[in-house]
Amino acid sequence: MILHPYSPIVARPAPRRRGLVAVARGFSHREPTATAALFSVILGLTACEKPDPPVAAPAALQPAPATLPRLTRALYDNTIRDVLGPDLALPATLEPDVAFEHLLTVGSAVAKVSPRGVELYEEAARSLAAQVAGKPERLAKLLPCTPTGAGDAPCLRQFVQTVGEQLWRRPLTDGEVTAIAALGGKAGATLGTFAQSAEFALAALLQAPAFVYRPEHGEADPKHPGGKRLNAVELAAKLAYFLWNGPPDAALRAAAADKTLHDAKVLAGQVSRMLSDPKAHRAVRGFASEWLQLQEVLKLNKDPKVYKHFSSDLGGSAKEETLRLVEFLVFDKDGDFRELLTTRSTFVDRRLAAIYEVPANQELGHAAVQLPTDNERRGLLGQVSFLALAAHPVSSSPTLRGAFVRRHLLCDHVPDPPANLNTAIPEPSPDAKTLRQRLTAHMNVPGCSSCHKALDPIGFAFERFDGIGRFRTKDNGEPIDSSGELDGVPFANLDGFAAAIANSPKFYKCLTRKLYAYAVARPTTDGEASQIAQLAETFAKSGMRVQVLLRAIATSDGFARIATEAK
Amino acid sequence: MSAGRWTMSSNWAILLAIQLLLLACDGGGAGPVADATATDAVAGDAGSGPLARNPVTRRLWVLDTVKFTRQDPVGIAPGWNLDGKVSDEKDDASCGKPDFKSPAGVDGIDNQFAVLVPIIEKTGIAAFESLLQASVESGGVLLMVELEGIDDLRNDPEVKVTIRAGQGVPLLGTDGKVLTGQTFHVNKRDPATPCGKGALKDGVVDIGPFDIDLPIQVFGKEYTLEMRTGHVRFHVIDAQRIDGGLVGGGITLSSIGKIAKTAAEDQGNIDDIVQSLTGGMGDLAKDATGTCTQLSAVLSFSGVSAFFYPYEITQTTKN
Repeated sequence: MILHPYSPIVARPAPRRRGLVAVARGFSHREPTATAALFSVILGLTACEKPDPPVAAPAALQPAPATLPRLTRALYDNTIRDVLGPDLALPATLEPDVAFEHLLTVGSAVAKVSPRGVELYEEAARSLAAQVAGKPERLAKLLPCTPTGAGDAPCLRQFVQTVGEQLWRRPLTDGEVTAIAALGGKAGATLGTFAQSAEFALAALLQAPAFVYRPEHGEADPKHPGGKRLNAVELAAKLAYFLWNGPPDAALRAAAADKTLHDAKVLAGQVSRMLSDPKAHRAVRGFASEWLQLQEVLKLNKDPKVYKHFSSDLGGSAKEETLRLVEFLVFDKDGDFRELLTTRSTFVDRRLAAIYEVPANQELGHAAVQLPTDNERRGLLGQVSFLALAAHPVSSSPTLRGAFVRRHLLCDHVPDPPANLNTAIPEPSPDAKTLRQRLTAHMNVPGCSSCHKALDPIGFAFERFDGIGRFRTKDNGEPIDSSGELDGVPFANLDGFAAAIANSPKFYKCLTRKLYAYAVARPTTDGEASQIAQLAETFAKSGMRVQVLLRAIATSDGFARIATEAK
Repeated sequence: MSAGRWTMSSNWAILLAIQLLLLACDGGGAGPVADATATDAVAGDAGSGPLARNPVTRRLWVLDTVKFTRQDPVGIAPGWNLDGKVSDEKDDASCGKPDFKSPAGVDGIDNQFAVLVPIIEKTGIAAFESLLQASVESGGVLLMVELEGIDDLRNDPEVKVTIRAGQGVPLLGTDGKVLTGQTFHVNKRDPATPCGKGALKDGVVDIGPFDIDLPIQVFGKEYTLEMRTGHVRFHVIDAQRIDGGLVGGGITLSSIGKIAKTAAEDQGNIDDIVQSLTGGMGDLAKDATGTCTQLSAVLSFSGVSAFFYPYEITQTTKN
């Protein structure tokens, strides 16, 4: 098949970040250079000592430049399922997602597509199109007309128009329809069936940049003369990918087509409708997966000699537990989301229940349970998804756990250790039997101390949970001290730590920033600081209700406006 | 030896093991002399951690290993003095079966099955114990011990002991053993067999005597097992583990015979095998005809923490 090829598209560089840290991070995530490497080493030694110098953020929103995010794997799969049908065999491999600022969706705006990635998109397109065309009932569901024969060009055009609009999240131009229908028609004429015409046309639609990427060209913004905003079609697509993790439906496309979507009432109505749709659960799960690094949980690898409760399916169980809890708090309870850190409610299957030493409530799948009050386990930070992920294959790790909390829950910058730094901690000795004691000794090593002092006192809160998340009271035969401090707030154990972090304004501000970045699908800029602060305030005033935050982000200026020109 | 004979002989051994483990109490005879020091369990840490801070009233452990006890060395075997006598070859009441001395030096231990175990092994059916363990790990033998009324897992003047039967397929750990902390259904047919009350001393509980007439099912066949003057003892290491467990008593030879006859309906030679193995081995409960009608036996076990599903879940689940 000959299709017009597209070149791998390199997104625009990420917007300017603050200070030296931003420079080094920007380099290290894209084009490693000797200079960037040097920065990394310097920062690795010093960056944990003090935060970025304060930079006066603009008081009003300065819209960020438009970017060109690629569909993440989750968005790709959901779009295929929603448009072409839920029973298709999805491609085994596509260009892998790359995280930026720890979010895959943000990474989709800055990552390149490799030549092999282009091939994979083409192979996927061919496979999916063949599956659709190869099963008459599947194709019939997508056809807006009944073909009269192999050469029914008008029906093929209608097919390209209707399916193309759903896949590309915008109406196709006449020229686009003509080109793709012609390609399909030529294939059908050669091969002799309408289904093959449709197959080739569909393959073309699926490997076009308009499908693989989420372009945002914008239009003049009448509310902000001289400014730009997403056009209605682009706004519809952005809303859908944020609130549904999938493409816009007919109602949303209609609101875009009649140009009413920018009307505040129409927009609010659409957002409310979308949040009450079951697909909103999918979106919240998608965000939580990225925010809490749950894709990594699926790759858990533990030493079976050390952890008898480990199994190959544990990661999947743990991921589902966390997602169920997030869903429960956001949709069922619709209450204070900080309960994520403090609740004793969770959802476990039989295997997780065994690790938590609680009775399972059903034989298959996850079911709600209450964690007992006789140990410290509670909330997200008492779950296997966190405790096992932020740990080593053979042991717990206060450092990794502290880094996870700082990076993902507090939005603190934690550099990776420089490549040439010896990160080995002292072996157990009569004076330092527990991991805590060994790390305390390690904190005095020059080059290690600055970061370990910022991370380990947090990570000590979890030391009563081993590297797979089982509760314990002793380490190497010694009683475990799980006290520590969070930015000057002391705590006695995980109970106290969970309360401390839940009460820290950094937590809800960080969540707001993460969710906003996920929503706009690109790195945030200094010019958006006021917008994010305002959203965090709205979130706080609502009693930390995530549904309120989702609504506020979706209807915010920062979500819909774009800079007049890229900087 | 045919495969069928091997299998049924092994099955018979499992039945015996189950009989020893599933104990129900309705009072008992004379109190035996307990050999409370016979276990070699390591002292645990039940006094620290959450248990110490928040006393619980009930704990359940599922048996994860079950083994037959042997004499080691000759004349030494674990168990209880079930008949209150110290017997030797001349003791008519024990049909000439000498008692053992416990590893801790207590005389009068009744455990004739310890004599039988090496004989069974020499017949080439030694794998019966592996089969028993495999049954434990596959859920075929899913037995639990439960303590109720616990205030302190190390020392408590009175706790209630119940042997319970579960249903389900255990989750196994990376070492192939039954995992701690998992949940099972209650076996609807044999939900619970209370054994009585006793004290926890330094984590060790020792309960008995009690009798049992318990129907059990193995490979689709139902049997009734009878055990008299049963005893159970185990050491609570911590909330997750019990170890050094022993369970023993006098198995009625008549029930063994009935089991063999039932099994023989499918496997022709099992009756002969069982009779040849157990005939004349009785050492307890001599009747008016001068025959000892019970065979003393002791199994060892360990266990890990477990739970039952909520009642309503089990009720809607077929088992």
